[in-house]
Amino acid sequence: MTFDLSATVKERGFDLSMHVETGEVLAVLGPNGSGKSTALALIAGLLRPDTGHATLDGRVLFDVGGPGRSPTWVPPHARGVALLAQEPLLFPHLSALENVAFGPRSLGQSRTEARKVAKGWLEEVDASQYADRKPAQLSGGQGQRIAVARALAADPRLLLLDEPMAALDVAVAPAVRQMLRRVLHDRSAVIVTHDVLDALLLADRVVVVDEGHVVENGPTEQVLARPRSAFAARIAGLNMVRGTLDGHGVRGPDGVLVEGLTDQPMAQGDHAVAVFRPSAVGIFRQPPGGSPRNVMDVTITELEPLGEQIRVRTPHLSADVTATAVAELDLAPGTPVVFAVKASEVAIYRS
Amino acid sequence: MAHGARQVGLPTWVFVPAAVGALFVVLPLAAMLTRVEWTDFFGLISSDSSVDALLLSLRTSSASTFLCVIFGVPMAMVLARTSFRGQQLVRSLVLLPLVLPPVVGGIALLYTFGRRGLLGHSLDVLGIQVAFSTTAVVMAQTFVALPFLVVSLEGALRTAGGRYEAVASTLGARPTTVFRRVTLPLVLPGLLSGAVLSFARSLGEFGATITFAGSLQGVTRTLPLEIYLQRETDADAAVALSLVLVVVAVVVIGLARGRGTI
Repeated sequence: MTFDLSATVKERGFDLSMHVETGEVLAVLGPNGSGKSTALALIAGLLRPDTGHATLDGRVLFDVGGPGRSPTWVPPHARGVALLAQEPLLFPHLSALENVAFGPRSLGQSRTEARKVAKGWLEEVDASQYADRKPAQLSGGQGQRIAVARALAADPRLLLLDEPMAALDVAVAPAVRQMLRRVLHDRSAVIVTHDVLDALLLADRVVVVDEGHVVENGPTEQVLARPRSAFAARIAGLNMVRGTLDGHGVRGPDGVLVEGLTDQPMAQGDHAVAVFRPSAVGIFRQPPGGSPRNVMDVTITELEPLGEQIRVRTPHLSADVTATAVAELDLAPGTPVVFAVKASEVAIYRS
Repeated sequence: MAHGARQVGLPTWVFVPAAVGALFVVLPLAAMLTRVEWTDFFGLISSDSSVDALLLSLRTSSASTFLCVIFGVPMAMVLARTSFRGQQLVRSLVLLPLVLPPVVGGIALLYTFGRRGLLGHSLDVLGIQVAFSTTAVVMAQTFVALPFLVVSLEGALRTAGGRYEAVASTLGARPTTVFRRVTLPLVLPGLLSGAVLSFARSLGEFGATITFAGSLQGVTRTLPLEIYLQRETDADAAVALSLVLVVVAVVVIGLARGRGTI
């Protein structure tokens, strides 16, 4: 029971195939305009391809036809594929609860049943308290939680997520990401993103798309650790500290403790990994006083220009800072410095 | 929104033509008001022929507004949500009554549904005679009012965009469910304002009606026709009835405004 897509859209120079196993989350990474969203529109049935076919759980979603195959087209509502977009797109005239109940109602459930299902899903995404609010009275993060509940309540066999965190405040994105990680567990889903953290935390496998073609395909950690395509190389390079859970953080092999946020119940001593972006790291000559941040003593090994920023590398971690900061702090290979990162920027998960 | 600060000052001179234009609209109404015979006002508007005309106007305008909604909503949806060859041409033809002199519309209707018209002959054989009946009044009004509904609803549909509908369909909603539970509620203000415009246009219809339906008291003589006829014989009654029509129009627009639709 799997999902397969192989399609071309001439007008957009799009020609790619993908495959999702049951219970697998596939991340589609790529720069803007690379054809990521085109793929989702094709799967959802909102766009007709020029050639190709797609099957979900052995059922043909579309088939343009060819030798020995007759053309097939299943309309969006009959595909069992729910789409979660960048913006919540909650129906403005319905309350949060009615929005979530929309899918079950459309599938023929009674009003009472649908509401029951909707309440369950609102609880699942920690949004029960907003059930009676209209979308206009919700913040972006709350709205996106409810949109997730609405998509899941439709009981899709394949869930499509189109950059679900892109329109969110940086302050609320981590919590929504953790929630998604929880609800996507054991679900078949395709998530389009340009954020490597989404891929790392949510996806089992990654395809990197550029100019409408797949340029890389493999298990998430493998692709991110050893990127072969230019795009993957640019966005990868996340900091990962592996170790065991200690309090609210991960104790690495060298004894340093990195505290962060997690949604999983974990026991002390569990194997865990703390993940944070180089751009979340601040560099200091002296440990910053009175700050709730994680601090790590490191020695610079390399300075590498990366677009408008400089990537400061140390044996295990890296930080992205401006050229001005490099000059002010007088950074050079061999300089001992302190890396600092806020706990709210660190995601901790079981490894 | 209503109290939004002006971002950029207007050039002073625009107030002059703006005021002249406003005066040009308001002054004739005021002039008419000065001519109203208030002492005998109710006598003038409550004659049999006047009451007949008012009731006929309200009845036929309601019916034509209903028809405009029944046919105009699907037309607007097809124009806003599909694309096909010749769509621009179809749109232009549908909107033609907006710019066509109503008399011409009446003549066109007559040569379609009149006794010797394109379809009229077949209808006549079936024992159906449309021309010079109340049905003809409703048809004439629908002919001229339909584009108002189509234009305002198509605009509303385009503004609302198709994204909510796409989401609804991926949630398992069939096209009819999407229309009923998503599209319609989203464009309801546009639909209401289109219906109000259609009603107002129907209420004021004159040229197509008198050409296609004639002027038979209680059957086809609507209020505008009654006013035109009274003007020849009893100018005071014409002015009083005109005021009635103004009041009805203001009430309709006021109701729609109160609901925030136009």
